[in-house]
Amino acid sequence: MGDPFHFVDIHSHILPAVDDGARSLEESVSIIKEAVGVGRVKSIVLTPHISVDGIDRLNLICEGFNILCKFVKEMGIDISLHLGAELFLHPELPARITEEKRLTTKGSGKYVLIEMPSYEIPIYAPNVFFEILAHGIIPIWAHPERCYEVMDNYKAVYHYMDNGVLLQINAGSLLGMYGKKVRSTAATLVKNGCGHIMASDVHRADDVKTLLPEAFSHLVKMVGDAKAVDMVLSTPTRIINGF
Amino acid sequence: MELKQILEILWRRKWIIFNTLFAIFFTITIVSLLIIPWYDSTTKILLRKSSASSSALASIGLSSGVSANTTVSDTDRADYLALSVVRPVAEKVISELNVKRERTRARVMRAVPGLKPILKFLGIDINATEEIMTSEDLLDASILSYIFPKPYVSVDQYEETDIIEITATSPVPEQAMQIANAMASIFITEELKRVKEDYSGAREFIDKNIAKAKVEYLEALNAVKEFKEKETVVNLDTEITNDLQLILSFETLLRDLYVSLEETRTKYNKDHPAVIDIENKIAKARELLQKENEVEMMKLPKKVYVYSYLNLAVTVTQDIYNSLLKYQYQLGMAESMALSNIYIVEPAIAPKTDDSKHRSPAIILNMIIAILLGSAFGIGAALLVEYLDDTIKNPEDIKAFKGTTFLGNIFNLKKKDPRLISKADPRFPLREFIRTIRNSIKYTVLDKTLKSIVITSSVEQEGKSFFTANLAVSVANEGKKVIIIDGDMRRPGISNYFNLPKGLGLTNYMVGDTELKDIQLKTDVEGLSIIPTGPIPTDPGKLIESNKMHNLIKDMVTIYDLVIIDTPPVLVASDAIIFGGWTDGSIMIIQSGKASRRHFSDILELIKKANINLIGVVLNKVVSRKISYYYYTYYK
Repeated sequence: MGDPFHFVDIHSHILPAVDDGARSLEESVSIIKEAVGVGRVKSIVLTPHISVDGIDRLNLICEGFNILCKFVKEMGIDISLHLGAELFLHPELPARITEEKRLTTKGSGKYVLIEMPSYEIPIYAPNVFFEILAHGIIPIWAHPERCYEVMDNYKAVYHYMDNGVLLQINAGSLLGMYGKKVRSTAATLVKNGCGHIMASDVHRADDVKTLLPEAFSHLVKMVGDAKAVDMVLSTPTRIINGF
Repeated sequence: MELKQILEILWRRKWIIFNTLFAIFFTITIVSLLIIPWYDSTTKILLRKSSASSSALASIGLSSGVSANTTVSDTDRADYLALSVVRPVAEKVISELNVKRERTRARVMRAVPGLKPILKFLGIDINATEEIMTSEDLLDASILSYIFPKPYVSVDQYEETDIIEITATSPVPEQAMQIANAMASIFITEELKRVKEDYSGAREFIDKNIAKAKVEYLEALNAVKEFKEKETVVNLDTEITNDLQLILSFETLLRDLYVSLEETRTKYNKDHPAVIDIENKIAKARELLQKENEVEMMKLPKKVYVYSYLNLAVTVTQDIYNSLLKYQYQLGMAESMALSNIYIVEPAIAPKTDDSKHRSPAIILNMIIAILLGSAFGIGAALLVEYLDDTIKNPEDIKAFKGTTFLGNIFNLKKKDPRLISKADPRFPLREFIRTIRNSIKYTVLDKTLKSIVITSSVEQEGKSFFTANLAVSVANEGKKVIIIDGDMRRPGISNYFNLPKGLGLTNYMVGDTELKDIQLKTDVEGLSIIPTGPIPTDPGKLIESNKMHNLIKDMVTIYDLVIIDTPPVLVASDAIIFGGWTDGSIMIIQSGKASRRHFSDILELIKKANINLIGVVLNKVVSRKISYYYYTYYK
């Protein structure tokens, strides 16, 4: 890829001290610097973990986001930051999302990033996804390759994909950051057209360095240039713009 | 069945496989180590026609009758293989080496210490520990000799050569060597003796006849000499010589026939067709000779006739003598050839006791065989057990019962793992499992109110209290006020999870005059209280089936967001059914591989009849590769 190429990252834990991601403002800034520099990222969605019983933290999160944005702007870093959330799957999730638009990506009420339990797909999952879709919101399933039921049988994602759920693969999965099994599952998903977006899911400054560019080269080998660019640029941009 | 399913079964049944494997492996290994080892030692014998003799024969033009080829025919080789282990040879070896074997009863007595007096009582001789072997025993390897090794001999052809291997095995390396060598040398000696006997008849005849022919030849020479001294020399014309020559040829023929007759008689008796045939030929030749003599002699003057006859006698006797000498030489050659065509090319040596090549049982080989055998049997056993097993093992087994909701899995905790999620690391996998189950319950109940639930199991020890405690913590963590009532008055288990002092509890309130507020104990988990059982009553059923208990639950529901009641297993007591009737729903916990499908189906029937709302089933201690990997990743 030529120089002008850049990435759009829709899954990150950069917002300081709200989840298991960045622990301080300094760390947030250093992650952002790395992402912009070596990572060639132009646009990032900050997606802190939020569970159904933690929705009251949203105001705090928004405040933190505004502070970070201001800080980054003052430092003159060339990046656009957006706020979203990574929501843990819960039977009450559809109701909460419709009540609180800020849980969706950029608060646009178009896309929402959802995390499944890592062991199994629970019995309420199909219904939760269905209800969200029924409200005209498109759910994005975060790192399906890390769900053990998917590792066991990747075809478990078909039901969700067919209904319009987008699948977001972690860049680290393709690089083997979570082990061989996750890497092979990610590769299987991507090769079978079961990956719409690749994102960093970055938690620490060490993770981010060459994450997206390096995983991108793997992605190109698996799905070709056009589809790879689609997964790291076109589709994420569309999600941020809320189309 | 898919490969994946088979692997899953094997994984689940891994302990059966390992146990079978180890049992077989250790049995074979220990037996291999314990049984008296035996050793083998081999003597190699070459079967060959002496090349030296052959070339000597060839040089005198005798190679046509006796082939100069030094290899042995297949039949000969087979003969030798059989001959080398015949009983007479074995008998000679036994008597020469005094080959003994330990008696089986002596070995058994050594292995089983208490056996001696019993055998003595039965009148069995217990003193003789050894016995001289019989030749059959030495040549026979029974299956029993793997356990009670004894000296044994076998023969084989060495690859595709004319070499015979005589292998002796014995618990004593030296004995193996001695027997192998003795077998070989005695076989060769016996073989040579046989060859010598074959030739001795012919030799005897020739020796006798050579002497006779020599005397006759000298006599004939002498007669001619005397005749010449007495008479003047006569010249015989050619015709006469020719006639005489004819007679001479008859005589030679006759003589040859006599030689062959004698030779044939050494082999066959007098009525044998070959003997009779030669006798007939002799009679015919005699007749012809007689006739010729009578005709020819009339024509000649007496003196000429006598002289010619004497000369003729010299020629004939000389010829016979020559041919006999030649035959004697030929016979000697053939004999020496026969004698030199088998010999030991490689004598046996005593194997070293640690020489695995010559030591049996081969422990390493047996161990490898044991591993293969053990794995095969283990996998077989695992599949058989799986086939015969009727227990509920995985979510699919529960989903197979129509109308039953599967709420989630719990994996088998390790010993060092915390039992309660409130005490565990935030990343501890159990948290997620409990949370998923909690959410599944919420999803299943939907909009209906769920203020009180009963937790029960099918049989004892399925992890009911463990699940109750963790579910309560999980709900309390959502900011709800939760209370657990330990309604299992038969085997109370809840208080163990919260480190509360044993003291007042449910029974004190039910029977005594303890106030309700005194038995609601706050735990260290925010929002979670428990009512422990208290002293165990003699008749829990009666306590439970009372209005006071019903009212207690009603009161608790007004105070707390959720009341969770831990009850005895359904198949143990009807307590769970009674409590179930007073609450919004019941949850059943089933331990994977414990309750049978039949039991589970009975329970479902029972619950249905009692009109109890079964929210769903939780599967505890699920064993699968997926879970193991998940767990492994956590600990990494």
